[in-house]
Amino acid sequence: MKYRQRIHTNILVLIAFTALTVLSFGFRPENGTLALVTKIVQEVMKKSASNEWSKATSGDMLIVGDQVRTGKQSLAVIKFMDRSIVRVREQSELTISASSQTGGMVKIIQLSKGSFGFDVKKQQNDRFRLTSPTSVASIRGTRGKLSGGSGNDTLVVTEGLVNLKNNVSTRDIDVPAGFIGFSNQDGSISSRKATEQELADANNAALGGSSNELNLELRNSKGDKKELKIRYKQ
Amino acid sequence: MYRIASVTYQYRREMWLAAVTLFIIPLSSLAQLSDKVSKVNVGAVHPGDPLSIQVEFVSANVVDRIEIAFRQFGERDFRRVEMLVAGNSATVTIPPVFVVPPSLEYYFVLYLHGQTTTENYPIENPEQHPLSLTISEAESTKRAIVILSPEENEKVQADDVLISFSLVNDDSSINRAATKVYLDAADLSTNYVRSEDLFVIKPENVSSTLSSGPHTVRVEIFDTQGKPVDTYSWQFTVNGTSEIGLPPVSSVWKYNYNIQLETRNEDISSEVRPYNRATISANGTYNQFRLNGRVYVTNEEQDNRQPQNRFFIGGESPWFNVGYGDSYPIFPDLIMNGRRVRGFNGKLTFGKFNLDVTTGNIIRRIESTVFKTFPESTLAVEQANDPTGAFGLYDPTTNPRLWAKYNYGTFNRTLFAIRPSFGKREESHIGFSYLKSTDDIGSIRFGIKPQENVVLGSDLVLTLDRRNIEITGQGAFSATNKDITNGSFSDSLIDILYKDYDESYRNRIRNIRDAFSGIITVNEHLTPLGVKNLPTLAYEGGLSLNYFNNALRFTYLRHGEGYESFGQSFLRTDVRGYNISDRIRLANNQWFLSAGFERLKDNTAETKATTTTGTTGNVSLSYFSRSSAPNVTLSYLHASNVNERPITDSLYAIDDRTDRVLVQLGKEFTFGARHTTLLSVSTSMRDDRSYRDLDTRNTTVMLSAISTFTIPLQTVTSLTINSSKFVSSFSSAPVGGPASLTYTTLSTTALYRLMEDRLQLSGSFSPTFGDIQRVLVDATAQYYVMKNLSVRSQLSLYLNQKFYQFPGSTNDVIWSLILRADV
Repeated sequence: MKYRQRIHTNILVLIAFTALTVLSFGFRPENGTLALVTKIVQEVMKKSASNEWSKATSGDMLIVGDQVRTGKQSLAVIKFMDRSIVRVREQSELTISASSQTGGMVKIIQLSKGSFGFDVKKQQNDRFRLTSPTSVASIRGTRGKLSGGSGNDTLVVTEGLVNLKNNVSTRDIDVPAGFIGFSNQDGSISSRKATEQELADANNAALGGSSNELNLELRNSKGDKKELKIRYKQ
Repeated sequence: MYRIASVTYQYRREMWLAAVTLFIIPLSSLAQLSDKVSKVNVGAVHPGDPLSIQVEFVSANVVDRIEIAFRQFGERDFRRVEMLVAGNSATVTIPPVFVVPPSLEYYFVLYLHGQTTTENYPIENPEQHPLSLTISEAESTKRAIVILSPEENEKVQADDVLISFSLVNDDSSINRAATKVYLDAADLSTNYVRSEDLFVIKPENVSSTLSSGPHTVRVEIFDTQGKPVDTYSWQFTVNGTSEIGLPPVSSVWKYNYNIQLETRNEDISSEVRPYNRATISANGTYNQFRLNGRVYVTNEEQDNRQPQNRFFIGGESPWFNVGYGDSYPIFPDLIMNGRRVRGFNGKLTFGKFNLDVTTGNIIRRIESTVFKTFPESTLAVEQANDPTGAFGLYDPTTNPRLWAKYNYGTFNRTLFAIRPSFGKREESHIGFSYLKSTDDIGSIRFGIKPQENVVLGSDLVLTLDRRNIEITGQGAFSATNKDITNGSFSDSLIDILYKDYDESYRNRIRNIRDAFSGIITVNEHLTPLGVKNLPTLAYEGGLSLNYFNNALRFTYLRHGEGYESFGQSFLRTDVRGYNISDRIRLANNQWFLSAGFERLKDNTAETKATTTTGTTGNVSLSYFSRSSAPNVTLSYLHASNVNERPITDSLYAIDDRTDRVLVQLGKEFTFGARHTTLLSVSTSMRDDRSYRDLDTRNTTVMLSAISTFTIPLQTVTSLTINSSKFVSSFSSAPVGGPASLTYTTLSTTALYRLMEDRLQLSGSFSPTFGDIQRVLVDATAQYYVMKNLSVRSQLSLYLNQKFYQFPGSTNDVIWSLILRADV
């Protein structure tokens, strides 16, 4: 009798464990909300797996596989649950998704065309991956702008460090802050120091607003000159 | 193609739902074994914040009272506080001052119904092997919510105001659907859209209510019992005006209330008990004023027990806080803490002057029970038949006079406490306390030794250099009379009692009586009657320094052996000594090193034959990883108790040492789902070198995993192996002989939400093997009929096969149905 009871108990335990084990692997984070559209300027459309393109509104939630497209002189600000921000510039199109990897989750932004600025918060375990048909940029906490999506990609990094990889040649380089990386359809990949103009543009894309600079030349009674630079946002 | 994927996903969801409901798994994930306690819930742990701990009982009728014993890192002694029992659970809030890294250790003391003995949880060696809670400083920066929009202090256009935030607390005790969102005074809780933990209020539901200028978003989070857990608020500024411009707040009054009705049936050891309970709680705010009330009614309320029903109504504002009903007022530790008072409780806060007052009953009268009455002539026979019985004159007017045999009742005990203080409550201040508590002699017919207690005390807090230096001190003097039946001495009684002393001594007694009898009854039962060694004096002093990533704390205390406050039942008396501890943050707050040393002695009045010295030293090293490496905690404790008697003294010699080692590894990772895993190995050895040789040894290994899926499913799986060796008094082992107890508990729990969170299913399955053999099965379903109305049903099965050396198969069944409305 006791022996039978023990067998029954063991079978129940085994079933419960099997169920939990299968549960552990049976689900992927495929349907959780990944991000939120927090700002819309002009014409912004979105498309989900089960729906066609429709007008996006501020407050729309984005799940894995959702696409966002901006029209002329338009902008969409997308905020992820970790407070990372992506600013989709005009005439751009991207898809957001996520996958699991050991130690955390990878959030993926796939650029099809146009450009976007990014301000990715430093993460403990999760990672961000910015992709295009040509390139993959892996980042953990940085700021910059990715353009391209249709063959030749440029990546400007204003803060942090990004690993940029070319999918054709599988070569990769590190692009540090203040540099611009190029990844092309022919497999070439390179970087150089970014110009002030390129950095300002990337900063605007990442942080929002358009930055202006006012240069004043000051001169004292002795005729000594001093230059005063004022940067401001509109 | 999308349609096929969607159908497949739906099918998988249903499959797993079926699996989860089939293998119903317990939420008692801690897997510590007890036939009284089914579960311990710990609220969100933030250093410096109050910590809520809840115990759920297997059976509602199991305890009369429960206390939590807890201590900080570096302390040997546990502080005790009574928990608030309501139905089949008890709750307590640990004050913020004790919630400090690296850990808090605790256990529970259960006063079992109808029994004079107590039981602990965990059962075996709780002082040596308590429950432990890691308090991570790294966690302290974590908020329970992530603000997504608008950002704190962000400037936005009125038409662009999108309110969004995400709850990041995985705590299953939080009722996400009950979350309230306010924009300034307007309640927007009906406007939000929620997807799991994400809350969004779109601009069209916000912006028309906004004028330009600063605005505040407030989020209130509630637990499943409807109690507020946390409140968060942040500000943003609107640039430009919207079309309407003014907030259309219908009323500045805001209120909410909830009603909960519960019926519960317990079939334990073939004894069936039904319970019916109702709880109504409500609160409302009007600008800075707040009203709250709560009524709890149960069919367990009986005249021969202390109150089981509870009620409270109170009002608050920034400068006053008053209430009437059942409350647990907090005064300085030596005066009052952890005692339920039924009566008035008030606080005035004027900044530089503050006043705390409480008055009411702390013990309710329970009338004595008369078993029989009989004529005076048979008194001798009755006393001979029952020499330990209580007998008293029942009716002196009859002829012959009637006597009675009875059970002693319990006197009504009232308490009054007042504390004026000067200086801001949270900053430097000095306070003076007075407490008086008296048994009402006329409250019952037959009672034994009514008592009286008076305490006078003072406390001081000095904070310097932005609280980096904190000096604290408190002292109190008590007087307790253990029998006030006959009031204060009469002159003639003094002459009789002190006839062996000279006249001047008797006069001094008379003077003391005349001076103090207005405050406390002065007779031979008063303590203290002398001032030698100040037996009823208690004081404590402390210094805290926070510099160079160090948190150094030094405390000196002395509690006299006769010190007593009826408002504080749990203070350890007859102890003096010091405690020093330090906590160092290293490597950018990734490493934490803690060390503590404490030395305490008894025999403060020098009335004992020997003095016992207790020494405790412990050290703990924690690593909080910011990479994929696991978090690690290693800690070691050495404690000893030694007195001056030779070990050969079989009666009084004390000489024991305890060593305890704890290793904990924790890791969060994503693999299909989000997992939080913990491996904990703890072992303790007590070597009793005295004649009694009460050695104990205990090893516990626990492996647990909390998995959070996005579907949304949460599972908890744990395996606990417990092995103890001790000196047993069980009948089948020789009395005082060595014994061992080894068992393994496997616990699996699942919580699944579906139908857009309207239905929550949870279940648990928890078998135990070894010297204890038992299977727990638990199933719970909660359905939201409407957003504010839910029905919850729970079924628990306890299949008991063997408890240590007491075989015998019994099945216990408990089910309950709860209807709850939140408005």
